[in-house]
Amino acid sequence: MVLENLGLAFAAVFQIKTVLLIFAGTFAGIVAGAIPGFTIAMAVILTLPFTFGMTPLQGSATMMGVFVGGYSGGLISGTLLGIPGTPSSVATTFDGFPMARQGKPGLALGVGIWSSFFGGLIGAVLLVLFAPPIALFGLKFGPWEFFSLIIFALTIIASLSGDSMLKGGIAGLMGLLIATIGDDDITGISRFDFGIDALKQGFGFLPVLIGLFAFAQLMTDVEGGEKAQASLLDVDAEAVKLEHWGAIRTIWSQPVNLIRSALIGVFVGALPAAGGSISNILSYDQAKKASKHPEKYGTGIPDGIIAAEAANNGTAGGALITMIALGIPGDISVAVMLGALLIHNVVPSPTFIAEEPVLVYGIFVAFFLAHFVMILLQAIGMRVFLKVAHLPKYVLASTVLFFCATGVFALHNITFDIWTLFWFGVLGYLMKKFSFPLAPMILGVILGDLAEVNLNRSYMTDANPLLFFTRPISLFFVILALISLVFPFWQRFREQAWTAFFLPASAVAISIPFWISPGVLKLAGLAFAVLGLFMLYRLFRPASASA
Amino acid sequence: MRFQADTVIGAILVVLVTTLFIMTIGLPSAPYGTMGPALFPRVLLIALFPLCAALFGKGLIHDLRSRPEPLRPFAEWFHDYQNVLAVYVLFFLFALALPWAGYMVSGFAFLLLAQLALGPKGWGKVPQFLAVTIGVLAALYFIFRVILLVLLPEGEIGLM
Repeated sequence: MVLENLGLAFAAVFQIKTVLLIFAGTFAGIVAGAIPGFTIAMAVILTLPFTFGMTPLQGSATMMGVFVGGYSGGLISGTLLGIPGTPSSVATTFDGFPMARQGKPGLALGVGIWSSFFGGLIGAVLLVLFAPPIALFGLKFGPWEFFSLIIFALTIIASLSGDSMLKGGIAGLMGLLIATIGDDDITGISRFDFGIDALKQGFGFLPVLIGLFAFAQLMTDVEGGEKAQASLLDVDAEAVKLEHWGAIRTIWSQPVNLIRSALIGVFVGALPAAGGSISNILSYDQAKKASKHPEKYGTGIPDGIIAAEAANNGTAGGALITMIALGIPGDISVAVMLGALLIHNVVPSPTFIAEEPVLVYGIFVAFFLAHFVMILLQAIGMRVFLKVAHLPKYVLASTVLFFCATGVFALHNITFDIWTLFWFGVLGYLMKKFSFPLAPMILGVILGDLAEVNLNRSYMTDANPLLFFTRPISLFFVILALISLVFPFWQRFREQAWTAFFLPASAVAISIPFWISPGVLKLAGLAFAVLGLFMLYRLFRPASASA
Repeated sequence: MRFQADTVIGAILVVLVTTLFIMTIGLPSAPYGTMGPALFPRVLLIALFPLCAALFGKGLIHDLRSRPEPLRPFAEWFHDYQNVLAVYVLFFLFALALPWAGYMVSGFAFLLLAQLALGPKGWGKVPQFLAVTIGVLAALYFIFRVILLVLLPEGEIGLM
């Protein structure tokens, strides 16, 4: 039945007009993703009116192109300019930009693009195979689980802060605090507005993100009298070629990293309201923790790029799972796609796949095809971006800043967003000069509202705080958060006696939420507990037994 | 005695966090069944205070134990940061002028002046700067205003 529906879907998608629409959508998505401030969601929103005159499948296919192109487009400016084009490419800049600066922009871009491709393909396969069961699991999340997941994501701040966890913790908490400025989402009461009307709406996280990243990076590029007159990339643009085979070999040499990252992306994407902004950083952190050389992350190694890009394109597949299976958008961009389907009187729901199999599988096929189109367009259009990077820094700084200002203005048509860009640009530069990491603050601003809203919802549903620890999924994330907080200390103080107990204790701790879960999950709890106890046994067994 | 950056920043943050916490006292109490607007910020501020105090303390201990580094000459400092200051001032003026002068005029001024401030000195490059300014403005106007139908500020002048 699945194969028959896929066959019909292939025939429906591989019509000239539909394929051209996918090309147009993918191109628009890549451009939108590459422009800091433009966002994939905005590109999808602007595409929506054009779909009114199309069939549901054509409209959905066009939006698939924008979606896929946008997730991969963010890596271009992130790698070449150090400015993530979208929040889902923040982690790509950690290693992509340093690698480009080391004279390997072609390899950095190639690794990013092909990681996006393979990660997206993995997401597409999982979308087809596991849409129903994954969507059902995501539906079990209540506000307790969301809040605990956010706390877990925020504890990754400690891991991403490098040598200064103190400054990283301050930056992360300040980011959360910044998100509280303005009207409270639940009560509508304004906080920390200092009597300024414009502050009542709070700060949009996109102007904050671009201000902190773009301004800071551009200003460090132009500081020093003559530095501004050098090229951003002091290499011959013609000589910088996308290293496709080198990139593919590099990626295939790390299958575990690739598959784990794609799976993280799919899982996060399937969660309602979570998206690429979480998955790329979560995946990067997990790759760093699993690595034999975590200290090299952030210096320009391909591992970090693979982790981030495979995850964010895997997120696209995951976000579609809950939309198609249950009618719940997993992402803002997907919410717009849902609106497009509703306009065409198509209602995604648990029976959607059964009632409209050709349309559903057509969306899957379009999603799959868009990745091949993305690779082709990135390969053809990359020289244009490399030529742009060859321009002197003073040209790039002024034009990119102006472009960012225009992009953030276009979000809500208010000059307050431009002022936000400016003031956070000052803050971002000062943070860089005084060695405060930017990523934790960004994460705090992005997740602050979500954290508070879910905490409030949990309180309104049931004021018992113990529910965070008695609900298995919530407890699982709480334990992961604690492990994540301790892990950097474990890495740093390996010679101390207590660190020997960290892994066994972690395994036993992780078993607890599985134990309190219903059904077969108890077996997983048993497995983790046995693993932890075995590790403890190996610590304490007599020396003669190991001889 | 001279203090290093971490000491000063730590002190500023401690004062800021304390001030913000005092501000939360003035927030209204929670409507029935909700957390209230003050709780979450207070949790964050309580978590922040010890971290900021630790930063201040760490910096202070370092200052007491080590010799202060010699101050850089102002001319040398200014040479390193003049470009950064110029861009910030120009962007500030751009944002200030935008509602009055409009997108095109303020954008033209920002792009041209930024290139003049950061780029090679002398009149020889001015035609290039003008070409880049006009080209970028035209491209952005076409993309945002014509294709995407985003309304860009016309300003009091009304020049578009």
